[in-house]
Amino acid sequence: MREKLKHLWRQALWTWDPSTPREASDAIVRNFWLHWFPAKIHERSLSWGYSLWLGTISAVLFLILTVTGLLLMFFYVPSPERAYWTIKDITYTVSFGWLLRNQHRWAAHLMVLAVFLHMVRVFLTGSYRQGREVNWLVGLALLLATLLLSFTGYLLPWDQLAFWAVTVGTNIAREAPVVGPTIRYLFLGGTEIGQPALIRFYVLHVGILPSAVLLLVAYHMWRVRRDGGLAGVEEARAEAVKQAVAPSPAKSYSLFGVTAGTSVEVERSAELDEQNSTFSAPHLARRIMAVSLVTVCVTLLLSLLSDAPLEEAANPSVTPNPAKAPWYFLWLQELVAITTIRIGEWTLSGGFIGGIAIPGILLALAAAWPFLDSSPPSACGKWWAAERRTQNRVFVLLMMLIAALVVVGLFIRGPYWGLYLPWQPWPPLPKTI
Amino acid sequence: MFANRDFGLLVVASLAFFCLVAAAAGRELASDWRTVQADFVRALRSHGDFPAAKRFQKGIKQIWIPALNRVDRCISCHLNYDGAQSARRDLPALFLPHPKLPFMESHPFPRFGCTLCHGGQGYALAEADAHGDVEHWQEPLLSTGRAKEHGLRRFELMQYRCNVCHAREEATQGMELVALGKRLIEERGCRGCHAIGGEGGNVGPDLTYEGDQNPEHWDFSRVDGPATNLSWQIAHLLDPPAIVPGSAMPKLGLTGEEARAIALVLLSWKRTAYPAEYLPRQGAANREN
Repeated sequence: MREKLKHLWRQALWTWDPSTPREASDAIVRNFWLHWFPAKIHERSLSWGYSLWLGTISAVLFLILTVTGLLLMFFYVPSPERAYWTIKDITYTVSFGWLLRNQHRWAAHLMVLAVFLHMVRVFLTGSYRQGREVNWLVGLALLLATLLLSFTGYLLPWDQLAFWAVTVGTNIAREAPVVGPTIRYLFLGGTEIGQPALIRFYVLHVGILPSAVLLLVAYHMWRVRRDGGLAGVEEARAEAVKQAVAPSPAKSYSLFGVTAGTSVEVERSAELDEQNSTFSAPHLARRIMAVSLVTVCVTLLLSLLSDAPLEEAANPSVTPNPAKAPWYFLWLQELVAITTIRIGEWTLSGGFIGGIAIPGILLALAAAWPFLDSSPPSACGKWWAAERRTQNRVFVLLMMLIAALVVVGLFIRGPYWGLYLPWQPWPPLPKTI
Repeated sequence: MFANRDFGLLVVASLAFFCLVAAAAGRELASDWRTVQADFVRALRSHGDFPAAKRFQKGIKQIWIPALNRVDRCISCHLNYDGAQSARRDLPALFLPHPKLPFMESHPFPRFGCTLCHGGQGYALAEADAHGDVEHWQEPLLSTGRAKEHGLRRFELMQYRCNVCHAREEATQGMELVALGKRLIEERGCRGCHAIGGEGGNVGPDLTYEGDQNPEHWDFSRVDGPATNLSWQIAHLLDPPAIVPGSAMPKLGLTGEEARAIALVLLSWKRTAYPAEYLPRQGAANREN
């Protein structure tokens, strides 16, 4: 009776436990959705606390954005006359249109955050070493692509918020030496934001950038698998090689036993043994399902709680005061404001220092760091490794500075870029004409 | 070692997902227009108009006027606006037809819609959004309450909307307050200082498109009443230096009604691109038009 109930319960929940290792491996190879996973996975790659699953979360958010974005494309028209009004239509008349737009917006904000935190995690665990340098660079490219995706999407609603945020953003780009104005011209298709800018941003947003992200993510994931899982497995591998079990004479590791020695594949899988690894089906598959579902739930919850803003239609002759860049660029706007020096009637624009030089140096440093970091291999794939203490501290300090500048720009800047604490009222704006 | 905890998480996440999808569906189904349409059918039945209740088809309804680039979805709730749904006159006020005013014949619903005269957000379907009582919508519904805030009655406030098209007429039937404003603008010699339509002095600012002024441009710190273009104009006309210190514009000694009349005219001077067939014909001013 008890057995029968147990059986019924299992049937009701439709759980599946492979009964043999062979079955578990087969499940991966035979299933279209699972075939990109390895058959066995190191427990470290599966741990919650090590990776925080930020890469998976970013990928799921990208998937949500692709699905909601494709649906939104059926309704949105990228023209200055129609864009704003199609957003109104999506919000008010399209069935669940409000949900599509809210979810697209929340997933976009969260993706910027998740990709950024993923980078922070990889740095703090020193996971960009041991042959993973190229993948770190690909990750940086993905971060930039995410920011650009979000920025190009910002313009599309064609309201005041969109128009002026992109104005601020592209004006910062103009400050780059020599090529700045050309880059801005190339992006906007002219000298001001109008139809050419809208169609360029649209094509970048729905075609070029998502394709680039897709290709880069594919490579990013392939590299992780080729490297044997998340960073840290190198340690297990070194351990396994040290204990080097002599190749069994009963097995032929090489081609028909004609050549000598073992192949790369033998060493590669050496880190996985009975103690530290488990089968991807069902453990990895289940965790990925759970993480995906939780991510979708978070975007749904936020979409129910807060609606995406839509201000007045874009009006080049009415500048909102203050005009703010998108939040992830606010630290740049803040840097520009801080480094702008006014002496009497003379103004030295901080556009170059704050908008180009500082972020440029930070980006170059980030790209070069895996090659400059000389900590021992044992520090790779560990949170707060003692050998990397100083660089981790400096990195955290820099990231906290950026976050602090974003918070100041987002919550404390008021009219004329003055500082107002959240509970201080803004002064009534004087007549400007 | 991973199995049980992960399985629990999956179950919880699935339940949460189910609840959230249900909540989203609930919000979609509880939208104002669906509620009102259900009320409408109930009202028809309770008042005995069963054929109308049977005939009624639920769904978003709109007056789409491509020539004016306008969509008015007001009629998704104001369902009996033209009296076509039900002839009964004892239905709740929301479901009564629009009153038959003298100028209605020359301004039929399919050509003019609702918001052109009444203001409000034609695109929206939720009540607050549609009536324009929300941030980021510059043309709210010209309601009795809004008129009262500015010391006007509703039919007086609405005259400024009429004058967006009828601006070139000296006086139009039904637009008495605006006509007073137009007469005052000529009599008091506003053009001595201000250019209006390319004609006039350049002492004060050009007033040709004064109705397009963004209220964000005004300083409301010395204005009593709501922070609207109209309220600023009325206060400013009554006592210019009190609103804009150091203004060269003298106090004109206007009465409250005169100031409101001129302010309504100023508000109606907007940049518009209505097709010619929508504009009143010359010389037809004193007909019912």
